[in-house]
Amino acid sequence: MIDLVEKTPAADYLPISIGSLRFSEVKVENIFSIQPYNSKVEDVSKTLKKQYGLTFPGIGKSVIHGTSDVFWAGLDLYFLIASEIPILNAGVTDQSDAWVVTALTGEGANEVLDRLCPVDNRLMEEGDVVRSSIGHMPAIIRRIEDGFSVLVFRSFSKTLVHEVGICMKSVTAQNS
Amino acid sequence: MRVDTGHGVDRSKAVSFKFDTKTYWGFEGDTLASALLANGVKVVGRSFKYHRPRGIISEGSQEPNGLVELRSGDQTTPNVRLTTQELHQDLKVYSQNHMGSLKWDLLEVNDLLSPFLSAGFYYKTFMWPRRFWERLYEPLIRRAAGLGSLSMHENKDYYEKAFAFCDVLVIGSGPAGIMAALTAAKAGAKVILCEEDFSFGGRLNVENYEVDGKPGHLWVKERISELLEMENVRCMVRTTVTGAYDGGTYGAVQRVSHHISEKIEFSPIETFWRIVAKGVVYSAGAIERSIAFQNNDRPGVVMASAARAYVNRYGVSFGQKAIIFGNNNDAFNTAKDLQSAGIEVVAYVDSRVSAEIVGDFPIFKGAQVTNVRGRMGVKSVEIKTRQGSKQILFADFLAISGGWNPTVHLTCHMNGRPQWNDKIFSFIPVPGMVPGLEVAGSAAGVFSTKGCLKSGIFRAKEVLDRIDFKYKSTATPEAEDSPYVITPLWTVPGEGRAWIDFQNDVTVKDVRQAARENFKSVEHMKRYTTQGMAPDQGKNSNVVALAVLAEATGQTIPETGTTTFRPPYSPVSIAAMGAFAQGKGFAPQRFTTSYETTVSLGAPMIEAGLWYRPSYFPQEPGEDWRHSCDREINFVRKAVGVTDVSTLGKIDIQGPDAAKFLDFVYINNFAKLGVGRTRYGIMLREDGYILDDGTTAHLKENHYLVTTTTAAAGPVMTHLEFAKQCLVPHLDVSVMSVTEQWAQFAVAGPRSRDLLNELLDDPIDNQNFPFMTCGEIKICGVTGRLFRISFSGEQGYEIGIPARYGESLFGLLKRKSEEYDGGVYGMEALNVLRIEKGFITHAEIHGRITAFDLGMQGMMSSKKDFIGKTAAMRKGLLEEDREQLVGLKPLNSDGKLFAGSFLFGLDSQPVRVEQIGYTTSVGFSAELGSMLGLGFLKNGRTRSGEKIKVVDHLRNSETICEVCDPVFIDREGSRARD
Repeated sequence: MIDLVEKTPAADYLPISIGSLRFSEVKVENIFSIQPYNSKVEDVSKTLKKQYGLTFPGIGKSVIHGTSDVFWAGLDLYFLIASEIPILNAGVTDQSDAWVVTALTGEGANEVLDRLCPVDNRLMEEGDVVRSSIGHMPAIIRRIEDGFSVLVFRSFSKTLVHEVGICMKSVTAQNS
Repeated sequence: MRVDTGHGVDRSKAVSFKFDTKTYWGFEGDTLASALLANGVKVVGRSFKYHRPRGIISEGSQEPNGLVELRSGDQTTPNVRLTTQELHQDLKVYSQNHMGSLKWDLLEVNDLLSPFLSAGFYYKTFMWPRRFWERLYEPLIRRAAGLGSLSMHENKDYYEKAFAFCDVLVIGSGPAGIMAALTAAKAGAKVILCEEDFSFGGRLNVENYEVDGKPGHLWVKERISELLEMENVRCMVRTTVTGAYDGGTYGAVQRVSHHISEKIEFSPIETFWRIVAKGVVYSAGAIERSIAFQNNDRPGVVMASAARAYVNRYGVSFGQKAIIFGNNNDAFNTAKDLQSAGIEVVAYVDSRVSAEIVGDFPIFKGAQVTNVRGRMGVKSVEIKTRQGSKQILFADFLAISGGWNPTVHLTCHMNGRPQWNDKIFSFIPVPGMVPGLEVAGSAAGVFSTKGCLKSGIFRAKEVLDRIDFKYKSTATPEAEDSPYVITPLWTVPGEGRAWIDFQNDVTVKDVRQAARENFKSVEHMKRYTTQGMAPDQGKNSNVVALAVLAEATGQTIPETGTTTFRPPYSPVSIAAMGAFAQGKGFAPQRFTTSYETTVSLGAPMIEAGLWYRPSYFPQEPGEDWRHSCDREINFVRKAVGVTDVSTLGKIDIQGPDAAKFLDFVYINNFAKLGVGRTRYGIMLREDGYILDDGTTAHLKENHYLVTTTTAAAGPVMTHLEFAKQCLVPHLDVSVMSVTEQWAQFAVAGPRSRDLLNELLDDPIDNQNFPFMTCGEIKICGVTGRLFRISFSGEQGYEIGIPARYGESLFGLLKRKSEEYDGGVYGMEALNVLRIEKGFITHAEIHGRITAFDLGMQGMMSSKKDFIGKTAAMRKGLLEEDREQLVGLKPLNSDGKLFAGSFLFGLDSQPVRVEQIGYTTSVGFSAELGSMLGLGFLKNGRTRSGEKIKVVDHLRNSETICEVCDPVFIDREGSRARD
């Protein structure tokens, strides 16, 4: 049988390192969107707790438990990173291949985002999530320990790397 | 010339620069203006209209005369102000707006013609003969108009944009700004302090005032150090706040690399900031105004505040012998500072009889300057004494002060109007003009240093109160607190031209003439005379012009009012505002998983929304698109073709009420669509017109997949979200885009099933996978989705696979299709294939089309409600004479058709009132041997077989066509079902 070859969205473009900044692709096996019907968030959250040991976070927040990770992604919408598709009384879709998941890390990551994203990223604490835009692309941005996790649609990968890359160069040049 | 004063330059660091053809030297810390003055350069430019020689008059961004072109590599930046451009090694600037040299400008002839070129002359002059306008006058005026020039090369410099956020934005770092920033910062607020100059301090940098017993500029340095040590403070020098916008957002332009010789790659020339602030202290200071008298524009006639600023900060004087002319106490500071620097004060002329001035130089009270002599620089000054006698005084510069105007510009950006103040004879801001903004210091009309310091503290507290920050009391530093005493003097009566607006060459006479010709409203006067336009936006001239207009119309100044102030306060490079958007940066690009392979095959790409899709696949480089297109159509009609359809929107609908939801958003019925079946559907907008069309697959119980067109994927998602959240919030349903999750390929043609069966883990046949079915499959061991749908009319499938395998599967399908004598096809072929079948795209459903127009009114279910139903049933949308979808086929097989052509009856003239329809899509059908078109024709469905004219006026084409059914081939649809 012929084997189809897998390719991650930014495989051709990342990682890049400029100065103290690094922009890399994060390989995530599975991402599922969860939309509790008719705002029945509490009920679904309880079921999720039984299956993965975590409940839905508040607006703009995320929760990590073991290898599973759930974060707020919009109105009554959560993204779950987990090994298996959850069985829930909710609309669940596979989003594993729909997004490029990246990490922008290092000193100056704030300043790079300042140039692309209309959000006060300095108010974000680790685990905080916003839905915003980055260089005119719809994005999910999460504060991580040493920078930001940035998710955009898979098809935007090349543009994302281009835009972030230029700003990494600019910030590095200005801070040098 | 240099004098021994000047704390702002480092005399140990000499810097060379070039102005026009000559090289000069200055010091680090100089501006171009101060360096040129130090070198005795008096004439720096030519005026806009009359090309009169002009010199520097000010020391800040208000400068109307000192505009030059800055050239660096391929780039030319016009209208750079000498007064704000910092000197750096090897800087090259060139004077602008002259024909010939700066000294010998041929266009100075305009000055001799001035009696014929007064305000509004072009409105009167260029009226006749009428045909001369386009051929002669306009090109001539265009050539003469405009300040500066561009290199006409592509901009290779890097500019950028950025966002910033703070609790308190302080605009201006003079005494008021510094105290406001300190007060806010000490309260714990996140502060951004913006300063337009390259040094903090405002007037404290250029005055000899002391604050808390220290020279002002040293006190500033200490306070700025204090602020810089605080983590909650960001001090932004070289940053002009240019506009106030809604929601506490301010535009600001930062000059990042203009002052650096060795540019670092990717360090921007400028950054355009959008600063969001909870509160603002606006302390942008005030600008000194001139007095209008004959020849007051001669090089060497300067602002009094600038004369002392250059001496105190840069150690530079406009000349050796000065005359000062003022109407207020502040002008006297110039006399004192110039004298301290060793400049001879030839005379102090004060228009006030009662001025309390004492000095060891000649003082003329109650006198006025009436004329200046010296075309290329002041030589002598004519004054009229209190007694009425005329005196000629010899000096090489004349420093004027007509009083101070608070810088109200930015406070008016949200349509507020400033208020006239009878004490300072100028306009001041009114509270609340910009929500959240408090005005402090001289911008509010407070003109003593102590007053400004105090005002900064007070206004910061006002802002802090509003945004709930607690603050401690702050002591006001000790400083001069002298009163501002002024008796207004706007113009000096006399012969000749007295200048108000140096940038636009507007005189007192021009303003009076505007009033005489009934352009009495200030907004009319502005447009008739051009006063207050161009880079300086009337910073120097507005109030004097209003005063002259008021006098000419018999109104008071407040009755006359101001014109509308709009952003930007000072010019912002388009390159900065458009940063990141140059070239491909204009919009983000979306690429399919097959993109790299497609490009490697030499396919030209076309944009579809933000997506890039192949137009056609040339077999060899340079192959004509039509040949490629015909070949690719043949793949599909005769063998098998493969194309990437991932760009079509895919929306996942789940939930117990999913079918109800679909019934609500589609005009046709979905409740009875069985699992594993697919159905075509149409969505309407609320107004009854078509929003989009596509197929919906019933994947599992309570689980559907809606497909949309590429262009409408976003709008349909928005529409469905709106419906879910607002129209039917009670339904248990989820709506989620899965467009990007799936790479999807159309495999179409009589051999498509054969091809797929080579790859599917479980082969299919026409019985177990008939037309309009769908299901989960495994292809090469990977779980995917298969849909038996066709946009070509042939046996066809769309296969969806997780996007990570997209590139690999596309390559595989391409190879396999070639084994069947088929291959990949692009948008050109796809378009012809669907035209031949009468399938529609957004070329047809362009926003003004109903289901009735398409002949699909029968799909509108009468048994249910759906979005747009009521509106679609309106009589006007169901009338038979509406333009209806038809097919068009030329009578002659070589007849040409173009999309966007108009349809006319055979006997009608091809004029607007006779048009009876239009074409939407055309293509050459190899199968039928002629071009085919789709279009809309009045009462089209009943006109089958009629002959009509298809006229494209732009391409000069007229083709006789037969009106046909839109489905040209295989009307029964048997090919798709086989």
